[in-house]
Amino acid sequence: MSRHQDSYNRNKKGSGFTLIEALVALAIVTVGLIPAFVEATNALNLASSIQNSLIATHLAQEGVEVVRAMRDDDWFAGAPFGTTLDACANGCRVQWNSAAVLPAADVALNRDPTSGIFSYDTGTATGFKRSLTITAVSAHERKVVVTVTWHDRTGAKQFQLEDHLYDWLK
Amino acid sequence: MKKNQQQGFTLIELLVAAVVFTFVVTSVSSLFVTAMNLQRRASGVQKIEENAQFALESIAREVRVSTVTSGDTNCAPVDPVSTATMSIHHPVNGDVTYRYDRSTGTGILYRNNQPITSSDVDITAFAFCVSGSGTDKKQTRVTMPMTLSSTGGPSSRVSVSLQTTVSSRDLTTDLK
Repeated sequence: MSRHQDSYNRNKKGSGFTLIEALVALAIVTVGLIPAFVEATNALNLASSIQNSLIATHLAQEGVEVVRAMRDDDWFAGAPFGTTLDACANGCRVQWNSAAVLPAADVALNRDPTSGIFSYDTGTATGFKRSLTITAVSAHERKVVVTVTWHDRTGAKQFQLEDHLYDWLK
Repeated sequence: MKKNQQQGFTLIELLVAAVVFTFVVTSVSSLFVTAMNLQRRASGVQKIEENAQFALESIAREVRVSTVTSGDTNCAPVDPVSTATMSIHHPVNGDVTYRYDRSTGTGILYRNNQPITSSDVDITAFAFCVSGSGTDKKQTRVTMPMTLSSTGGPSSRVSVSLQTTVSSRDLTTDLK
């Protein structure tokens, strides 16, 4: 029997894989798949995070713009600067059509499924909470801080926007 | 004769091997499909983000320094409309008309009949809620509720609803 033939027969006799070998192979495959799972989860979290940040930044911008409109309304009415705004010194809420600030409350904005409007009126809760604080920096300056909070897959999130309004109309 | 002595796989071994192979292939391919859908969702969200940001930001930028010439619109719950328009007068750009149109099947925003959002994103709902326009001692506010949806299969489609308000900086109309 040639040497080659001998080794060929020996290989054949030493049957297939043992259970341990098979398990080790499966374990390696599984370990290899873990990063793929992690990446897929990350992609999902990131997508939902971008989505919520997009909504939150626009809601925060709305808060600042509504307060600015209230400042202008005071001017038009001939009322002193801060007449409407100073009711928010200890925190408040506003919505898109507010003429004056709403009292502070820990409630989420609702979205009307028909009109698509985010407000505190009828609708389904969105999970986004918006609170404002308007502090008097001086007699002619007010600092507006809008805070939007929400929860996503990874926990509590917050977006804050600050604006300064001046009494420049003299 | 020697050939007959060589052992093949037994039926059990073959079956076990086939089961293990099937298990591995199934899990890998389902993982792949899931990852593909997640990837599509992620790129859908990105497209929605880009389009919403650009459209709302460019409208806001122009509205801030303009006079809104179209009258107040009632934004109480109404039946979904497929078109909505808003006209403004910009001190430099002149008369500008923004239009939302979904009559072609895909909701798109236009500025003077030029599209400002991509057809890759369907704006399924939009409204210009104008209040305080004209001489009413109220600053003009434009509230824009918007729902955007990415195109694609149901498992990878994403829909985002958002809203923002912009108030005009124009004092000349009401300060007379």
